[in-house]
Amino acid sequence: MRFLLRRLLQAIPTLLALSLVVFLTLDLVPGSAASAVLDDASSDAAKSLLCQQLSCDQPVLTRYVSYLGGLLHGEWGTSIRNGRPVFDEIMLRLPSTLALTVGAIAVAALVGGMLGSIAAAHQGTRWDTAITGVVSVAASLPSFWVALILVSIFALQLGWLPVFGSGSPRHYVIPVLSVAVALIPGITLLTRSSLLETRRQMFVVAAHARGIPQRAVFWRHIEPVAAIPIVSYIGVQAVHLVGSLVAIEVIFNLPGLGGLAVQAALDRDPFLLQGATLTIAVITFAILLVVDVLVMILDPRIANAPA
Amino acid sequence: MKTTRAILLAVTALVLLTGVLTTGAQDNNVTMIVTRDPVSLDPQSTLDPGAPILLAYIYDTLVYQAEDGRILPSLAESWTVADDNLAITFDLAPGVVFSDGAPLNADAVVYTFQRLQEIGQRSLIYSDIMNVSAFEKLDDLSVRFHLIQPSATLLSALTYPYAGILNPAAVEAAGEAYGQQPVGSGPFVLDSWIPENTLTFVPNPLYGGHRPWTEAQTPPAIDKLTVVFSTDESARASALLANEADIAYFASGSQVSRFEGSADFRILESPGRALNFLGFNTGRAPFDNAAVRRAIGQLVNKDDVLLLAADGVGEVVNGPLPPTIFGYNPELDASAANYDPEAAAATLAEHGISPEHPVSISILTSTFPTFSAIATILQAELAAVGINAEINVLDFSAVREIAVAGDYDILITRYDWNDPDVLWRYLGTANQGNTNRYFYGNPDLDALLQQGQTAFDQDARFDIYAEAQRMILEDAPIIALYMPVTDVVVSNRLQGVSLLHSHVVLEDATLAP
Repeated sequence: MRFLLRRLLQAIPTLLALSLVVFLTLDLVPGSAASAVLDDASSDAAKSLLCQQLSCDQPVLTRYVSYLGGLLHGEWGTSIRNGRPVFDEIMLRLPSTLALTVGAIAVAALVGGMLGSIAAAHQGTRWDTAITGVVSVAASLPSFWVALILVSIFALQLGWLPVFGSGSPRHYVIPVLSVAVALIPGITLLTRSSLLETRRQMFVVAAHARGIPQRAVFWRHIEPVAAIPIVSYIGVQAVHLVGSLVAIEVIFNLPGLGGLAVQAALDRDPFLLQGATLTIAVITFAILLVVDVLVMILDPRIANAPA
Repeated sequence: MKTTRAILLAVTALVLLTGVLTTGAQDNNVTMIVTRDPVSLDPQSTLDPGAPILLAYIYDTLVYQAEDGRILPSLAESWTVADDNLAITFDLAPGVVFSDGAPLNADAVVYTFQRLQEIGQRSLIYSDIMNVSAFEKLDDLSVRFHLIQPSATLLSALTYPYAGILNPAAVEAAGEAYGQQPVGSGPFVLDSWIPENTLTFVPNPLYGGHRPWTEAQTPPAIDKLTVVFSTDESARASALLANEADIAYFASGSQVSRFEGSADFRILESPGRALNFLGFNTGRAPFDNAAVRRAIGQLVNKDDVLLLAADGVGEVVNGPLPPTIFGYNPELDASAANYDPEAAAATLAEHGISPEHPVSISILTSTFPTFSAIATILQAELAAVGINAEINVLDFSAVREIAVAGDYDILITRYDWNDPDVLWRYLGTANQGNTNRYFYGNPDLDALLQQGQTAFDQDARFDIYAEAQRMILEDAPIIALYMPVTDVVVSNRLQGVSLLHSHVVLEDATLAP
């Protein structure tokens, strides 16, 4: 428990630093909310209204402090483009981002784990060669390209799935698969090598020597140990994933946080950008926390290790 | 054996995951894909480029603009301008009602524009509406606008969907939520709206066919109009081909070519009231010299630019106004500097610019589609005559600020407006450092453009802008490139569809069984 608490405490300074960087960057880059959101024909009245809304006459640090103060009271601010509360905008998009991330990781872990296990079980055979060969090729395919190929097969040729949109679970099948394809190769190869390495270790040899059945040796002795690096790897990949779904979101028109953050940056929309980046950061921490817990369950020594 | 079974299992799981088979909707519903989702359907508070084409389904305006820029009657059957040009009286068509049955009368018109003056600071037409000192109800069907200064641009402003007439009771009842619960007098009403997903419109049962640009005298024949969004051109094209949609917008030609010669689709072209152009920083060398600017005009091969940057979707324009804006005059083409790279090189050499004596300049442009391609073509053309250009492509907001600061030599940009007064906006001395980012100031041109703002007589106005355009062509602070065209691809199962300023008119549409 102390370990988890420490992890949570570590998150706070990181989030603070991140939000400060976002605020300062938005202030330093050329361009402003007025020149981004308002049209050429907009009146001076509109500009001063917007300025008032953003307290643009105050120094950046003052604005930052008052933003943090608001955040403590659950006040996320409003988006300057549409005047809607930032919290609502994020809640509107969170489900899509979570569905895509969690779905892709689940599919990739399942398929990658299975392929890796098959390859390890049949090391050196045609199965092994075929699987490692195919995933090595798949590793070099960018997600958006896979997405276009899947669309042309399953939506255009076969007509089984919708081309884009976000109305139902069916809309998520192709996006989830496209993202998963990028994750599967790493998981497959790591599963394979981790299993092979664990199998050679002394405690496994000892287990076999004691006459424990093959299946039990695999599930009780090899698998928990081999899974540790795989779980950590998936965690790292997931962290990368959350922020990098923009291309897939655009192709399938999924309302996600990545696209929201990009639009907010282009609009120089400070509160919306803050809200989106902080939410992405919190998701990242949550994923890392889940990974830590899983690793702890797999290897109790970590929980009891000295700081 | 175990492995084979595992693989079979996996394949079965994947197939189950992909779900049941679907068939394209072949009922009486129309699905349209637009490029952006609107933020609000309150015409007065929205600046969203996604809104106007949808606002036109719900709202009617007093007057409308024909494709050639002329102003024609719509809700207002007629209008008269006072002798001193300081008042316009609109006579409303009788019998028009909102979709909830309330009458569209003088009270509604007065309410609409008073509200715009109060809350419409962000509206594109705010300045024009603020030029009205009072909206006076003369009787139930006539309203007089009293102007602070004579203004002919007001009529153009009133044709925008932002000037749609609101139903006072509906606005008051909905309060803050009005943008999500709009009520108008147009052919459709908003049925449902899932943010970031779909909007659904159904026919307005009380629509009596009062729109003069359509033939329909009854509510639309289609049952439902579903609007979905996609910023990705290839996804829009795929959705049409998969029968998931009937109408989609395309800004460039590369995806539209998938539908050329198709038996199932047709391509409608919607010329924009817009111009893509080069603007010079006339405040510093080398483009403080009109002869040098004109030489660049001769250097640019506009046909190449259109073909390479926009797949040929558009129309090359010589003068500062495209054919879709009032005042466009093809006779002016004679005064334009036509493509003549040799003459351009000679002129530039006279002014000390040649491959032997090169100069360095910067081209500034935004990430808007086609602009960076235009910049690259221009860069190559300039290099041939000894002008080494560095290209800076930045996002929209940064480009505006850098341009206003004057830290560039050539700006590749566009305007989008429905009145020739756009020339005042971009080239008037008073707008320097604001919308005039070219640091151009010409008192003779200012005088003409200000005359144009107050000339109600269409013939006189036309002549004024002809003279102004001649002056701009001569002095060349900007070089027109081409008028962008939006392609709208429509399924052939949908008949009777037309376009009005990129709004898809569905009043006369019917679906083949």
